[in-house]
Amino acid sequence: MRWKYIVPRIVLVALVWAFFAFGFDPLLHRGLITAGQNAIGAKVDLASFETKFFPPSVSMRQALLANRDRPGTNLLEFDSASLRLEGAALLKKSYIIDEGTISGVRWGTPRADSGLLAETPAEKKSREVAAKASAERMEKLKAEVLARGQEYLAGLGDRAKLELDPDQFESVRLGEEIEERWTAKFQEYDARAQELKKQIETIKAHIKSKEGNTLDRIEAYRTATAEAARLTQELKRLRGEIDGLTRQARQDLSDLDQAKQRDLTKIREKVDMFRLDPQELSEFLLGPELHHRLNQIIDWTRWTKARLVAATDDPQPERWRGRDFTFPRREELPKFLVKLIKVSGDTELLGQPQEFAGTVSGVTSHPEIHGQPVIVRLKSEGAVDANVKAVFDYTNTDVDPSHEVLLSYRANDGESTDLGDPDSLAIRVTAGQVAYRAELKLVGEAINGKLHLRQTPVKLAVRLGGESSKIDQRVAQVFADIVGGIEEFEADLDLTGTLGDPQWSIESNLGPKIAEGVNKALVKQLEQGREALLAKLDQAVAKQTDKLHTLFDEKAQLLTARLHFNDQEVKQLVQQVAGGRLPDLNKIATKPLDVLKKPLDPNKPLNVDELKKQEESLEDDLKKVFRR
Amino acid sequence: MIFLRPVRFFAQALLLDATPKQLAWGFALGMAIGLVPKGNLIAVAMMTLLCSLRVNLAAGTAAVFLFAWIGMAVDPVSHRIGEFLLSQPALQQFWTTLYDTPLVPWTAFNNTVVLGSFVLGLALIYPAYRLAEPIFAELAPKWTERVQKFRLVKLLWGGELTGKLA
Repeated sequence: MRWKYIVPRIVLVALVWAFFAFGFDPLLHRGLITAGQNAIGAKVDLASFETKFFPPSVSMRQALLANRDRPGTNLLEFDSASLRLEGAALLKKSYIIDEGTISGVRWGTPRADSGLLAETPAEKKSREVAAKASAERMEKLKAEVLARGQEYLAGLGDRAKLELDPDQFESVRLGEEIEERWTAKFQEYDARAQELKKQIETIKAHIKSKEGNTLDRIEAYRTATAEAARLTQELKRLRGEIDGLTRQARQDLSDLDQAKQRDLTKIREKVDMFRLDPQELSEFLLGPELHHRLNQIIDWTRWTKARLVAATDDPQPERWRGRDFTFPRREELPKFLVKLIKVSGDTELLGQPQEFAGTVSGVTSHPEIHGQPVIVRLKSEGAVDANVKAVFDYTNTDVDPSHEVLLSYRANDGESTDLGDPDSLAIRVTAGQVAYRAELKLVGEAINGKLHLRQTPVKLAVRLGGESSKIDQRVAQVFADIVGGIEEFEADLDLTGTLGDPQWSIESNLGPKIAEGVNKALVKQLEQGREALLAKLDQAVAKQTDKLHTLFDEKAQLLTARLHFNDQEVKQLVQQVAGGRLPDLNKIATKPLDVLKKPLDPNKPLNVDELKKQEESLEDDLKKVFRR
Repeated sequence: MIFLRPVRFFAQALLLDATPKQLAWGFALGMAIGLVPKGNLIAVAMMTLLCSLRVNLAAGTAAVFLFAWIGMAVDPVSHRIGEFLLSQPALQQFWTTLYDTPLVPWTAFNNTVVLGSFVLGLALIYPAYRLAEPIFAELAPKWTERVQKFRLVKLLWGGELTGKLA
């Protein structure tokens, strides 16, 4: 009976022991992987996980944390980790890592699979859109800097065009336009004068014709007199229009002169634009490189900030039952705290494999209780001496958390760096010694920082591409000589603004040195070029103006002569028709002729007496006119 | 048949102590354990208690499973009880002391549902025992008779034991 009581209890105790011996670690292992995957949104692989109760400690091996934003690479990996927990705190349900070591830390390493978790189509699209937006944001500023630089460096090529293409000048274009307009106008007037002449000829021919009876002849005279009067009016109007054209011509020539003045100003401005701006040149050359370096720091800061916010947020699980009350303790304990972890690993700096070591402290779920910021210190010695210090302060809940990152390195044999843009102006920098220092402070969303890069001695090689490659060989040589003569290179970047919209300015000795040298070397050439261009324009416009004057004079004279001739013809015609008595003839003849021309009504008898009477009256009137 | 001895011992342990009182106490304790959310020291301690006492483990284990499901439906009530107790000014000093005592935080007493269901379970243990005892007195002999007919039981128990049970 006693055994029958003891054995089942022993079995239950054995089951509990078996759970802790064989089930507890796998359960925690699985839980840790799930929690990690939830935190970073990508696969977490952990080869082994072990716990010990006396003293409480955790050890892990071969951990790989995939990078969600760069499929196929690891965000972080480490070979082994050993963490010792504080027993007294653990008894109060507080996980405090008293001391630990993580070794074999690496980041950005490739992995066999993508590292992405199973995604729904919507999640995949959302991730891709976010990655694209992030990449676009990164590229936008770089593209802006390069575009601005390319725009003003395009002046190198434009200068050649300035000299060769006269069509770009407003005055030249306007001169040609005026010439075309005047020619067309004179052609129109000429055509009208020709038409008048033709009409005069027609009338004359009609008068000379012997066809028809007396009444028809009289009617022809009468029509001719009316037409002659109309032609006289037409000639008068045409003369008036030609007078107006003279006024328009004066205005056109005045416009041409104004256009010439504007062209001269444009030439001066264009040539001034060609002078290199030191600041713009510095930004163009160094902007992309410094921006890239800055973005790396900002991205790491942003990532760390997001993880810290997630760690301190401590949301309740969805299936959590009830609500937890917290009570004051004699000594407040955070739920989770990393007091100190020693970290070591290897990375690549300036293209060289480099080992590093450092510490991480103060990572906690309750920074306000711990009262100390998260501090990360990493140091690397060897071909590159590098230091990283990051301080993330979340201790004061009344103010925005602050994040400070300080990165510096010094190398004796720096790798080559390409500055600028291969499509316009690029400079390859090969440095003997490189010193780099970056400070970044992020409070809330406000960002503030400085980057300093110094390389000495340096060998610089210039390469002109795209439109810039079309410049004069002498200019290219000047560039090469000046850039080749620079022995030291320094650059400073000042950063302000917000994380979403950072504003920055660059100062460097490179831009001023190149710009000053190039400007000095080219100043005479520029002046000569400008004078030549001004003279060329002046000559072109003067020639055009002369041409217009000649055109106007010739055409106007020709037209005036033609109109004068037509005028004479009309006068002769009038004389021929009525001997100067045209108005009287027209007046006398109108009434009786109208009666005669009236069509006969077949229903009414022809009044012969009336016709006779009209004929006699007409004859008397005509006799009177011609007698007079 | 020697291989069956350990299994037989375990099965006996589950079915021994099978007087109506032991069955009823096993059931009542199991009910209290079932109501309390698992994963804390209260649940572990109560399970240890169940194993330690001479009560029927089969009835207790069955009650744990049954009331683990029922407990979820009772959560709102447990939450209110727990909240009431944890927010009582008179008890603040007591809770504070408990909270700062090593190991006690692992009991999750500061969770409203854990405390509420624990208190509810304690309060219901005796009434549950009183209700269950006559029922088990009525049903236990009938169940034993039926169980004996199963081949597996005959195999495990052997003729001698089946005779004892009868």
